[in-house]
Amino acid sequence: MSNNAKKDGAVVLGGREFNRVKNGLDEAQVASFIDELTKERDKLAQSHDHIASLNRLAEMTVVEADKLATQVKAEAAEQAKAESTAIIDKTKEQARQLAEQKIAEAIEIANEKANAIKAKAEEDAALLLENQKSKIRSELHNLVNQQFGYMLEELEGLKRQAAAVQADFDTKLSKPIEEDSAAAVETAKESDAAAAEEKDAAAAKITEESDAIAAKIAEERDAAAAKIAEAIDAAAAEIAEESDAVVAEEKETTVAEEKEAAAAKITEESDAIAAKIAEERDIAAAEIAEEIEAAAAKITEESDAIVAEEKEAAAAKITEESHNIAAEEKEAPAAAIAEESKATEEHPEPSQAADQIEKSLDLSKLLEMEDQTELGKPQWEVEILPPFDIAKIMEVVSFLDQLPEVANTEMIVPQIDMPSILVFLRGPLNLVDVLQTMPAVDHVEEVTTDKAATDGEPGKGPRKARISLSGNTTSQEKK
Amino acid sequence: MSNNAKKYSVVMLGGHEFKRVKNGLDEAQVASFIDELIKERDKLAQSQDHIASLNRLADRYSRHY
Repeated sequence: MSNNAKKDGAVVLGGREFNRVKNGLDEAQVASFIDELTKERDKLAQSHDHIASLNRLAEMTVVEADKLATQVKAEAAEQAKAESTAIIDKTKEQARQLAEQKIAEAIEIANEKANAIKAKAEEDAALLLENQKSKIRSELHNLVNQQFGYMLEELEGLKRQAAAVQADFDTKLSKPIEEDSAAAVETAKESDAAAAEEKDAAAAKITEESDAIAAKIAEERDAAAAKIAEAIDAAAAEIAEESDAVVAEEKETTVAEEKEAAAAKITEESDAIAAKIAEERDIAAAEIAEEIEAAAAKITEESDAIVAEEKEAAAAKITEESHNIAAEEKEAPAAAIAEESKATEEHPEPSQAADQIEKSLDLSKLLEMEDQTELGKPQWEVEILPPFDIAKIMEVVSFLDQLPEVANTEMIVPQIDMPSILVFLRGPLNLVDVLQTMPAVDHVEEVTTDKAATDGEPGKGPRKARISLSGNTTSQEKK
Repeated sequence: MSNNAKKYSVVMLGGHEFKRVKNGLDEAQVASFIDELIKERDKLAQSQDHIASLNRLADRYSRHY
């Protein structure tokens, strides 16, 4: 304000023009004060401008800060996203490993349980099969023993019929012997020989057919047993396969549910297989029973046919020979016949006389044996301990029948108890010693509970002996 | 300034005393100009005080958060 321009009668101070007046204000003081106020105003204005520039700077800084914050935020979000992705992947990996570990443990537990179930099922199946085998075996034994008894009865009947034929024939022959001559004796001799041969041939034929039928029954029994064993093996293989399939399925699905389903399935399969085995067993048993019945019927039929044929042949032969004798008697002189008859009676030929005596003795023994059998007085009772073998039993019976001291044998086959052989003796015989010599007999012991019974004493029971059969009976039973 | 106390040969303007002299400046014009300058100065001072108070508030806000 010091450079104020002065006009004429006017003063400029701070850019303002002031007039000079009379008795006015001191110019110097006014100028100083105005200068002071102006400086103060300029200073404040400058400060205001500085603050304004600072404000703009602050605004720019804020904008930059916002941008930076946005950028940092984006980077942080990206980094957080990457870290979260890494954490998620890591967690997934850990979860996967944990799940695999749990699955492996569950599979291991399921395998253990499945193996236990499988082992138990196999054990049950084996036990069931063993039971079924035993049952079928016992049923087969009973059936075979029963049929064997029937066959023996049939054979006894045939024997009795043959004895009756023999007796009839002897009766017919005795009349010509008493009345007539050596021709009648010759005829009787021939008839006896023919009847004996026919009887032996028929007995041999029956025995052969019986052996063949017994062999056929044994073969069919073995075939049925093999069939059952094959079915059992197939069932066991099927069980094992199903168990493996179930275990494989268990690995793929939920362990607990599959384990229960597998257990139920195994149980169901076991039941089905057991039912199947029972059904096959019943079918096989029915087939065997039918075959045995058919064989028995065939044996009976053939035996009847043989007996009828023998009867007819013997009757025809006797009739023919009787006619021949009658014709010869008519032609030959009566004296010669008488003389010949006398000569024959006084001096019979040794061989003819011996044959006749032997035959008569045989017949008388046969009749005595029949009588004793009918009276029911056996001297020995031989009990057969299991395991049973029909061929061995037949061998023992045949062996006893061939003994000269043995008059007759009778096979007793009860349904429940062990079979036994009743032995009728002609003379004294230590049956225990005799049986010990047989290869078919493994062990012989005499039962001493009824020692008083000796040699057919009346009113007392027979002596008892127990035998066990030797050889491969055990392996046959196992088959 | 209208209520300036007037003494003998001394005039009070804007809280400041001015002597009267012979052939001096017009009192009304000087008073008007001084009043204008003081108003302008007070306005700027008030604005500065306002900014200072805002700065204090910003400082307090930044310290608080």
